[in-house]
Amino acid sequence: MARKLRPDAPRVVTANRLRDGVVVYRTAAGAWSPALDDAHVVASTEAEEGLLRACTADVADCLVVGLDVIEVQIDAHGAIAPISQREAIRAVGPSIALPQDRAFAPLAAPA
Amino acid sequence: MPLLETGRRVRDRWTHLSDTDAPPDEAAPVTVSLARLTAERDALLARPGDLGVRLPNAAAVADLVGLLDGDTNRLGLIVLTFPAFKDGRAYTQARQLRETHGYRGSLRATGDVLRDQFFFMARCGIDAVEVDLPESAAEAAWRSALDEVRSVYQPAADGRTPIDVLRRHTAPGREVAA
Amino acid sequence: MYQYDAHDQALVDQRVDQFRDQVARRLSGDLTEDQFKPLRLMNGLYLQLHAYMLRVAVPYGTLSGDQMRVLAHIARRYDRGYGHFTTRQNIQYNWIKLEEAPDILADMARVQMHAIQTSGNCIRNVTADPWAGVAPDEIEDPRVTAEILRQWSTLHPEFSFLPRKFKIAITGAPNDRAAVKVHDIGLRMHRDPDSGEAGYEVIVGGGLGRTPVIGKTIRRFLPKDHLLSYLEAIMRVYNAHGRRDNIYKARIKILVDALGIDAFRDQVEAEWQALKDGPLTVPAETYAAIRARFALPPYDEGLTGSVSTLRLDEAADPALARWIRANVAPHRVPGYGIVNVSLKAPGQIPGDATASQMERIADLADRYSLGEVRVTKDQNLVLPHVRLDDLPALWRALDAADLASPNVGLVSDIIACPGLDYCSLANARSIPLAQALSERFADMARAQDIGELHINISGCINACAHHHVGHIGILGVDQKGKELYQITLGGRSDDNATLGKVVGPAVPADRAVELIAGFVDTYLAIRHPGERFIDTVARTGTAPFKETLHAAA
Ligand code: SF4
Repeated sequence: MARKLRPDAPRVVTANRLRDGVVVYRTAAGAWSPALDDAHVVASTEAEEGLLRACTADVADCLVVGLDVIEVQIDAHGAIAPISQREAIRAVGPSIALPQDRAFAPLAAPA
Repeated sequence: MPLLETGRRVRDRWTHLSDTDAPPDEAAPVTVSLARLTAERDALLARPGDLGVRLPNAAAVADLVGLLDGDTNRLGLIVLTFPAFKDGRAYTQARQLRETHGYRGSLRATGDVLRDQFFFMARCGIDAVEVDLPESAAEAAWRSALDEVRSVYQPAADGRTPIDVLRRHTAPGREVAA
Repeated sequence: MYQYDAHDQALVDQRVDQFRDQVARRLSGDLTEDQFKPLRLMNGLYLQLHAYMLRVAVPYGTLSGDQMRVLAHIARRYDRGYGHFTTRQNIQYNWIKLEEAPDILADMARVQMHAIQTSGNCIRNVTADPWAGVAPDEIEDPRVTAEILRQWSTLHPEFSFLPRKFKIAITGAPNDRAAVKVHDIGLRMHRDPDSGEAGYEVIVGGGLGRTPVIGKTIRRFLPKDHLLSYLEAIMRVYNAHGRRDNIYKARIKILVDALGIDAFRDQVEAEWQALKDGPLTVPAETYAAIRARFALPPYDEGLTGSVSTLRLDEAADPALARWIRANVAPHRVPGYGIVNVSLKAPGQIPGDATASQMERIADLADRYSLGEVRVTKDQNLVLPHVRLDDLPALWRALDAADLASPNVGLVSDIIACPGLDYCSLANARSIPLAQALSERFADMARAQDIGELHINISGCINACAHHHVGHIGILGVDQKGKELYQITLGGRSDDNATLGKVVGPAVPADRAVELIAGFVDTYLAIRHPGERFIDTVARTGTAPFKETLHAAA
């Protein structure tokens, strides 16, 4: 998945939290957040390597799995959005309305 | 690397020769590669010391059996290899050796051998494993791996009675909880 | 349905404890992800796009009402209130927490269910004809064989680390409703022409995915007692010689193709000589004992009639009549019908059911179908034993739960994999296209006029939705970041299994909807009386449809 990015492309580190699988992003404070907007954006290969190195302890400590680097873009208001559709869906959830569990009227007694 | 035989740590009494090493002495138990066994078959079989072979997992068991004139028990040890735990070819080799060719010597697993595959290995007739085992506590964990699942459906090389056979020998209404 | 005995139950319980320990060791760091991954996969647990996904085995697609209620409970307690029935007759949950997975398996074990071998490079859960035991054309109930295979393959010591996954399907009737020619091994029950004895035709090396292949017959007639020894011989040749250097060439179909079916058969025969008549022999008493554990349903005697001769009062209740015509099939017992429950209401996500819908189905199964439900490879459900005089009441109850779409086997009964909305392997989304198509064809009267037509949509070349054998097949592709769909025509998975042919270049989703609408119009214009879509394509080839392509361009 980790494709070669342009050397100066903005990017963030993502993973899944081990215990519940939730998609998380690496923050500047060295924590993990489910919100992409909390992610620490870096824009060079060296910074990416540094960021990944900082994350490896959390992999070893079983906090997260499946480290990946993804390319993002930042709009005028500072909001972060992934470039690929896959990562966009991963960030915000399925593109479809999820089934809503609603109760039905009880079955009528058999005739 | 430490060796577990039927789940207990033992000293390896075998010398594993490269293709050029001479055996330490005539009586020493040695293993050789399949290539060396093929090349020096007569001399190796004529030695008084026990002989073992290291079998690559791509080798055909039938070829080894042919080399031994059908008698696998001329060997005291066959070393099987798991280059990665996901590569399961040696399970087939183990069962062919035990069940098709009546091999009674030791079958040893080497390579990427993990606790959670030990159950499958034992069922296929592997009785010894070379594992990276730092603490003695882990030894008990390896032995317990064989008891996690006690009910089995298949006949295999470990002599466990498959469920179907248990059923056929249990009167209805007197089912045995495993 | 099959009732566990104490042995079956013990194994499943032991397996739950074992997995609980494995999860604890993973969470504490004793196991690395690399070491843990095959262990969780063998318990059906994937890490998908958004979370863990749990795939629960529904062996040969048969469920009791109580089991269905537990599936609903899992959806509500551990997931987001719904589940997805798959083309492998399983159910998947999309929002599972690793730390809760052992509790889920324990809840399932209480109703004789498990997730064993729903993933991983092992023998997967065996699929069978969803009408097993009730279809009039059946030779023998294939579920007895499927259960014997389930037991044999469960934690198989030799075949748990195969080169690749391995899928077996069985049909008990001459009309293949289990797609046996596109499985690694397909079994077709038939009778030996000379002795009249029932046995199996064994088909090997079929499959879809990147390299779609129609399986070849390796043995015309295998007597039933040799079932396991012969299959063990096939598996052994595959385990020893299947490719492990390239994941795309690791399925048995590639090995069979490389050796040629005759050389492959010779190797299997050689291996079989060592196994035949040994401990793997399945005695008739084992078949009988397993059959006896399928407490067969107590039908009401003295009923008459069949759905095919049922007089429908169109004027009084046209919707009910339409539903019966589309969704109810003949049962082998007089006075009963097989009710297909569509999970494909227009705009619905194919195969998804909410917890309340599952509970409703469970209640209706208990009330009207002798407590039994089936899951089909077309992502629908079946209530297999319904008295014909219960049909109106059942229909009303289904309708109140959005479960009475009269479209089974029709154009809007679209088969779609989860695609990029859930699946980490996907190239494109499948569900939105399925929704758009089912809305386009929402007119049920018109759908019945169009007749039988299977549309299958896969989000990538892994072909989970079997697009190669869809009458209209759709494959999602990613071309330089653009989500496009490649369309095939003329595929089928029945006795005359055929792979569809590509028509035109890949197109965006909205254009795919227009093209398919055009293909259907073309069919309506050129069909002969009584000719199904697939028959027309077989007669004319794709040429007239390609004209649609240009006309619509
Ligand atoms: S076909 Fe591809 S996208 Fe669809 S479920 Fe299978 S692997 Fe995922």
